[in-house]
Parts: sequence; C-alpha cells; structure tokens
Amino acid sequence: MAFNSLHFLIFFSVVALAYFSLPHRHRWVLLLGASYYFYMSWKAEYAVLLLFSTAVPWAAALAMDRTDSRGARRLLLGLGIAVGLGLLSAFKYLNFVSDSLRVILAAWSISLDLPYLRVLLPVGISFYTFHTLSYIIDVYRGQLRPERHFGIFAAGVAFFPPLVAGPIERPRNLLPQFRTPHRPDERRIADGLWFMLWGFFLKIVIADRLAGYVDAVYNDAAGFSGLPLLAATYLYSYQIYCDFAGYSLIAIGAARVLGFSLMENFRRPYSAASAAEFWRRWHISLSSWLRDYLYIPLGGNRRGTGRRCLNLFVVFFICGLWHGAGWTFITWGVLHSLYLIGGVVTGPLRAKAAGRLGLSRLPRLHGALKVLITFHLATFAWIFFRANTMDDAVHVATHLFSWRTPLFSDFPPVFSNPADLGIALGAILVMEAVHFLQEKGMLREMLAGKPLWITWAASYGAVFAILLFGVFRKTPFIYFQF
Amino acid sequence: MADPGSNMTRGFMTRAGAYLTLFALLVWGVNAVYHRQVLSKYILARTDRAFAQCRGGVEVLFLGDSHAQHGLSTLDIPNSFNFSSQAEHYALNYYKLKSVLAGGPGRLRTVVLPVELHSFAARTLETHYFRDPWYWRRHVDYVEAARMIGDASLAGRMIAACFPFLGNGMDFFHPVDPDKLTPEVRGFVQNRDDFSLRPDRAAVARDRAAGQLSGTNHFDDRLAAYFKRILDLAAHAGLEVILVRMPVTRAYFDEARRFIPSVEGYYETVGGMLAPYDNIVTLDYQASFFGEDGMFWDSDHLNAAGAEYLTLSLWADTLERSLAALPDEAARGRRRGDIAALRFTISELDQRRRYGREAMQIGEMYRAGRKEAAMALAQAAFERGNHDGDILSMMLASAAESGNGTLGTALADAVKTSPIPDKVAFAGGRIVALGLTVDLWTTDGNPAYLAVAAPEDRPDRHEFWLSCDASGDALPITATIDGGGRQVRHTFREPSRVRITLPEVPSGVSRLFVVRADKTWVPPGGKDTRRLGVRIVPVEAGGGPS
Repeated sequence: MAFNSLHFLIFFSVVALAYFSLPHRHRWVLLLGASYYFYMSWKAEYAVLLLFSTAVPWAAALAMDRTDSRGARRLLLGLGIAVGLGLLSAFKYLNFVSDSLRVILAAWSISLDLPYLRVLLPVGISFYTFHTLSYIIDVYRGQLRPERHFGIFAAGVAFFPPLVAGPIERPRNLLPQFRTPHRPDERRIADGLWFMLWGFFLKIVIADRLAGYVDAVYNDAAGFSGLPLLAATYLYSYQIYCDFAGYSLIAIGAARVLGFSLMENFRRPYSAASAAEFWRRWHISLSSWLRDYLYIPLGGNRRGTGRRCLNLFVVFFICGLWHGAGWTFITWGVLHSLYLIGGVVTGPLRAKAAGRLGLSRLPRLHGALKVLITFHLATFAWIFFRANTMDDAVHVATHLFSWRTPLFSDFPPVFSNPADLGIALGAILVMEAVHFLQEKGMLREMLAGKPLWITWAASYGAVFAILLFGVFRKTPFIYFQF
Repeated sequence: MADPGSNMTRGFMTRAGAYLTLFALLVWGVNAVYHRQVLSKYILARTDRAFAQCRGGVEVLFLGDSHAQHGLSTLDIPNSFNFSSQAEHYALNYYKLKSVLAGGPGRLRTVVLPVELHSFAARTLETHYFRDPWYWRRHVDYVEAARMIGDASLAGRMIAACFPFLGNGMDFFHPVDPDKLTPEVRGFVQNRDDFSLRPDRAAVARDRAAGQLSGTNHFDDRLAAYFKRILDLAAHAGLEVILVRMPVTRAYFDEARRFIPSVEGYYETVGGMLAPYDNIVTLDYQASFFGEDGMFWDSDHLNAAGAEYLTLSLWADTLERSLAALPDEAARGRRRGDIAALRFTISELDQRRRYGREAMQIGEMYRAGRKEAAMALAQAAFERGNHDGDILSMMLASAAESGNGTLGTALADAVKTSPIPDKVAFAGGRIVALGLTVDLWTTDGNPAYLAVAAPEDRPDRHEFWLSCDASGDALPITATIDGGGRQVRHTFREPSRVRITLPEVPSGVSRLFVVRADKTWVPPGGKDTRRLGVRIVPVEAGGGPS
C-alpha cells in the first residue's frame, strides 16, 4: 500500500476517523492493528519478522533495566544489536557478500557453494532496524526508560507513517507521544493535510514525471553520451529529492493529522553551501542517527584530523551500504566521505583562496558559488546511486561531456514531448519558489489569518495541480528498496 | 467524539463537509469539461456517435480490433457499420455486442468477427483489458469482467474510468485540431500507406508478431469464454456470425509461426468451439495477400486497397454461401446478379493489382537507366492492356520524344479512359492533363502532358492560361510547350499569367503537348513545400479543372 495509492487514502481516512472516535486508552490498539495491516499489504509473511524485530529489543531492554550488572547490560545490548543487524544483514547483505566473494574466489579459480537467499527484501527493514537499534542503545545509555507496555512499544516500531521509508524517528521522541492524549485539533489537522498535499505534489507531479526521462536514459546508459546523460543526471537530482522528500512529508503530515510530531527529514538540501551542510539538510533522520550512534562513539572530531577523516570515511561507507547492498551505493557513500574529508582538509586553503580572489568581500557571490559547487558534487555522486551497475555508472561519469553533434540528436523519444518536460520543469520552479517562501517564513504568513476562501482556493489549486498534472501510474517510492 | 474538550467542533465538521462538497462539484465540472473538450473528439466517441445515428439501419456489423477497423470497409457493403476499435479483444467485443443488442437486434442480421493468431493470446487481454476505460465503461460490466478476468484492482481502475482528466491536464492546453482527426466512414478507418515501400518490413513483422505472441499463453481460457459468449449472444439474437481469418503478410505469418508452431492445430481448437452452432461461417483469407505487401500499411494491417479487396471478396463469398437458402428462383437470380457484379469488380481490382506490380517493375528499370529495355516492356505491357499510370507516362514520354506528338488511337483512348490518380480532364474529356498537381502546376522539374483530342468533324484549337507566381531569385522561369511540330515559349520575369494558344489539332486526331518549366521554386511561407514550375489552365475551363 503505497502512499500514492487510492488504497492508502481510504485506509488513512478510516484510521484517522476511527482514531479520534476511540478513547485514548484504546488508540494504541487501533494504531498497532492499522500499522500491521499497512505493513502486511506488501507481504503478509514479513509481519512475523517485524514482530520478532520488535520483541527482541523490547525484551532485552526490559531485562537490561532489571539488572545492575554492567556485563549483563552489555551482553543484552550486544544481543539486541546482533539480532537487529543480523536480520538486516541476512536479508539485505548476504547475497551481496556471496556474490562479491564468488567473484573474488573465481579470480583464484576457487568455486564455492555460497549461501544465497531467494526472497524479496522486506520493505522498510533498514528503517525499523535503525529505529529499534536506537531504542536499545538509548536504554543502555540510560537516556530512555524502557517501555514496559509491549503493545505501545510495538505500535511505536510499526507506526505506519514512517514505517517503510522514514523518517527514522527516535523512540525517545515517538514513544511518549503514544501516551499523550491527542485531541483532534483543527489547525494541526489542516497543517498535516498541507504537508501531505505538498508531499503528493513532489512525488506525483515532479518525481514520477522525471522518472520517465531518467529511466529512459539510465536503463540504457551505455547507449548514450553527452547531453542526454547530463540532462538525465540533473533531472535525477530532483527526482530523488522529490521522491524521498515527498514520502517524508506525507509521513510527517499523516502523523501530524493523528497528533504525532515526527522529525524534519529534509531542509532544502540543494541550497547547502558545503557537503557537511548538505548532510545537515538531506535525510536528516539518518544523518543524525549516524552522527549520534556511530560518528560520535567512534570519536567524532575530538581525536584529531586524521581520526576525524577516518571516522567520516567509516560512517559514509556504512551510509552507502545502508542504502543498498551494491558497489554503486558504496561508491556513492565513499564519494560523500571524500567530499567531507576534502572539506575538512582543504578548509583553511579554501578560505585563503577566497580571500585572494576577493570572494570574501562578496559574501553573496561566494555563498552562491559554494551552493553551486555543492549541488554539482551531490549531483555527480547521484550518478553512482542511480546507475543500475557499476559499469553503467563509470560510463555515465566518463561520458557526461562526450558531446555529439547535433547536440539534441540522440535523446530518447520520451524527451521529444516539450509540453511534458515543460510541466516537470515548471513544477520544479514552483517547488523552488515554495521552498524560498517557506524558508523566509512568508508562506505561513501569507496563509495565516486569511479569509477561508483564500485558504480553500489555495488548497483546491494545489489539489487540482496534482490531479491534472500528476502521473498516476503508481510508481513505487525509491526509498522503499532500502 | 472521544474528546469533548477538543476544538473539533460542529463548525469544523460543517466546514469540512462544505469543503468536500465543493471539491466534488469542482471535480465533476472539470471532468465534464474534459469530456466535452477532449474525449468527445476521440475516434472511439465519434464512432459511437456515428453508430447511434445509423443503428436502426445497420444490417452488417463488423466487430474486432484494429485489423478489422482498417481491414473491413463499410464503403463496400451496404448498410454495414464497422464498430471495431484498436486493441479490442473478445471480452470487449462481447460487451459491445451486448450493448448493441440491448434494444433488440433491429435490422441487424450479420456480425463479422476476426479470428486470428493473436485473438486468444493472454497478452491481448492483460495489456488492453482496461484501455480507455472512460469509453468502455459505457459498454462493459466491469464487476462481472473483473470476476471473469481475475482483476483485483477494480476500484482504482474505476476511478480512472470515471475521472479520465486525472493526470491529463495538458490536454486542456492542446485544443484538438478538427483537420487532424482520424476520418472514419461508419467506423471504417482508411489508411493509404503502402507497406511494400518500407525498407524495414522484416523488422516490423518480427516486432509485431513478438509483441502479440511472445511469452504468452496463446489460448487463454478467459478469452475463449468470452468468445463463446459472443457466439451465444449472436445465436440467441438470431444473427449470422462470419468469422474471418484476416490477411497478414507472409513475413508476419512466418514470424507468428515461430510462436505458434501448429497454426492448423490452433484453428482446429477454435473450430472445436464452433461445433454447437449452426449460424457460423468461417472464411479464411489469412494467406490471400502473401507476396502482396502493397495491400498492407504494416505487417498485419490492411490498407485501403487491401480493405476494399478483402471486403468485396468476403461479401461475394458470403452471398454465394447463402444462395441456397433463398426461398425462390427469382431471389436466387437477383442474388446471382449481385454476386456477378461483385466478382467483376474484384476481377478489375485483381487486374489493377497485377498491372500495378508490372508497371512498378518496368518503372524501376526505366529510372535505373535501362530505358530501351523498359520501353520495350512497357510497349508490350500496354498492348496486353496494362494501362497503369506508370506505363502510360512512359508511353507518353516516348511519344513526345519520338514523333510529331500525334498520339495513336490506342494510347489516346487509354489516357482518356484509364483510372490514373493524377489525371485531370477538361472540356468534356477532350483535354486530359497528366503529371500536374491537383491545382495544375508542373512539379519537381518533371514534364506534364496535355493530351488533346479533336472531334471527328472539325479541327480543334484551345487557349490556356499559363502562369507563374514565383518571385525574386527564382525568376526568370521559362515555360515551353512542345507539340504539333511547334513550340510555344514564354519567359516569366515577374509573377504574371499569359494567354497562349496551342497549335491546331486536326479533326479526328489526338495530339500530345509536353509542358516544361526550366526551373522550380518553392512557395514562400513554409506551409507549401512543393517545388513548383508553371501553372496551366484551359481558358474554356473557366480557369479551373472540370
């Protein structure tokens, strides 16, 4: 049941109405049932996996709370982490490791019968695994009291809005909200619906429309060079953003309608002026998770530049691996680690160069240049993220500027519809304008306190923009695969 | 409400209700405008309207997919209607027939339905089950269809069917140009493309056959069930059903056979389903046009010429089969007359096909520089009665080059009487122009011919307007008219027209005049891209063709 389906709209309407019709003490039952129904609509059998992934950390955290022995607590922490990562590894990485080993061993003429799992990757496993890992680590650290009510804990893990593609909400933020009675607040419901509407716009109007162009080129990457590759790569930067940010906004909006606050996941990432800032704006729930549970425990930036660079490399290697079991994703992660390490190492040098070039006296131009460079670094890295194979990625990266003449001769046919491309580019402009107004706080001001007809007209405008210009072919969200 | 203290008040509920009501009204309005401005122009909607206008008089109904839509001509069978549409499979055929018969069969007595190699392929059903649902929901019982076909996503499909504007907002910004609508004649759609001229015929056949038949069940039970329902429905309504194996190119057939190795076995299975019925006739034209790719516009769709031939043959065969069932000899006599007329037309078409093929081959020789050999063959073909346009052009060129331009009686008669596409006749047929555009210009630097026949009792002399609209660098343009031992010549130095008189043609003689322009020009503005020369119009014709 994807968010961009009629099934979800009906499901969500029913759940929201039922939620506010029930007394608070029974609402967790509804959310738990609804969330499991939502999850089982993909593959019912995997509900067992979700239940197991919930029960182990819950029980380990309770046992941890009952013992004062540091060793026992460590053991329970290890058990919780091992089960979570074990399941994730088995489902997500076993085949990748087997394939990679097979290739390496074949080079030595060794043939081994390595294990291979012929099952679909459970939807959302990366997301709920990180959610439960943060729970057991927080309990171990004493930052969170264990949740004794299994039903509420299970509802928290399976809470349907962020279940399959985030944001990766922290249990210490989410679990207490299950105990807070949420009153049906008109303002909050309207806010939540606006979030959802904006998310649908990004997903259905922009991302799904761009997908046609990007897929046409990237699914036959070796057949193109120059301008088509460049165009598809730029378009993919927006596709992935609109797809993923769209999902997050729908999730945040749906949760907000029910009275829950989820963390912000995207904050205009392409306006970042450095790779470090990009990661403070892109997939914030993951980057902050990696910071809190990996980067800082590894020593963060407290142990000198060399160790800091190593930590960045490790964190982003894992970040790449988290996104997908493949060398393309790992390369993408490593590229970002290199950007960040480059940022750390060349910081003083760049400051000096900016001074020499007089850019420090022109802060706006300097800022714009940094944004432009950061956007292009991120866009270049997306090549590896999107390419179907490493060979394709290398081909795209090395043929971006192998332009043929005439320049527009070898675009795939899908590019020949200027009206369709015009809608996509126009929608991107609308998105950027809304982002600008949002950041300046003007959008909220523009609508707040305005007569009802103005807010209604605005919302009808947004709804009809989606209905008229959306792509209704149920394209799955990209991040479902992670 | 569980939380009485909340601000989810009655006012909020009222506002939400009002919002949703207004939303529903807006959706309804936009949808209605979309239907009116966009969908009503689609050929599906136009065909439905055309059928509604003549349904009371329809006696023969063609059903099927695009093969039937392009291949069964309503121009050749009286009171027929072609209700086929692109990708229309048996499930849809059934619901359409059911919808047609809802008010009783009226004068309808025959249903023509193709049975082809892809007719029972599961892919046909799966790919096109819900094509254009905005249209099909008028005919299809989707709840029943979903049960029979095993469709689990009916609700979503019905949304698309009811609200076709979803995702199609750009259609509002592209008004449909009425001149660009596909023309239909009582549902029949003519295509004049010639597949034999395409260099990629083998690839087209391969792709088409693979697209329909590769990796799919070739005899899907669901389609078979709907096929039986069509036959039951027709039998119940007392209709005769003509099952037609539509013609395909040999290339397509060979490709299709790779996926269905036993074509005979396939048709035997279909035949087995027909056993309980006595109202069914099966006609097999599948191989009728093997080696005749000029009858198709792609590997498996007939063009207008192919449709004409097939439909006439089908109708003649049908009438012949039903001869014995007629009540008396008088009726049978009339029917025999009808059949003879049809067979005569078919034989003429046959002859035209044969002559066309021969003329094309000779023309290719001529254009390849083997002029003498080509002329000898053209002369022989002409004497055998081949008066195809290409042959006549060669004969005229030869006559213009060789003698004083006097045409032999046979050639003059052939020019006058043969159905040549670009022929224009004036002065009651005494002047025949060949090689001119429809607006009477010479083109592409080629000569045009004027065949002028004088009456038996007096000599004839004709005046013409000779004009040229070229300007600028294209000028001067010199036009020459040779014939009758003289040359008329005029040089245009500015856009103008002059009145010229051709040499006298003696009584009882046919004379050939050759019109040439020494240069060509392209009309300004970009819309007309022809390379024109000069324009010649008989004065007595009032400045235009008769």
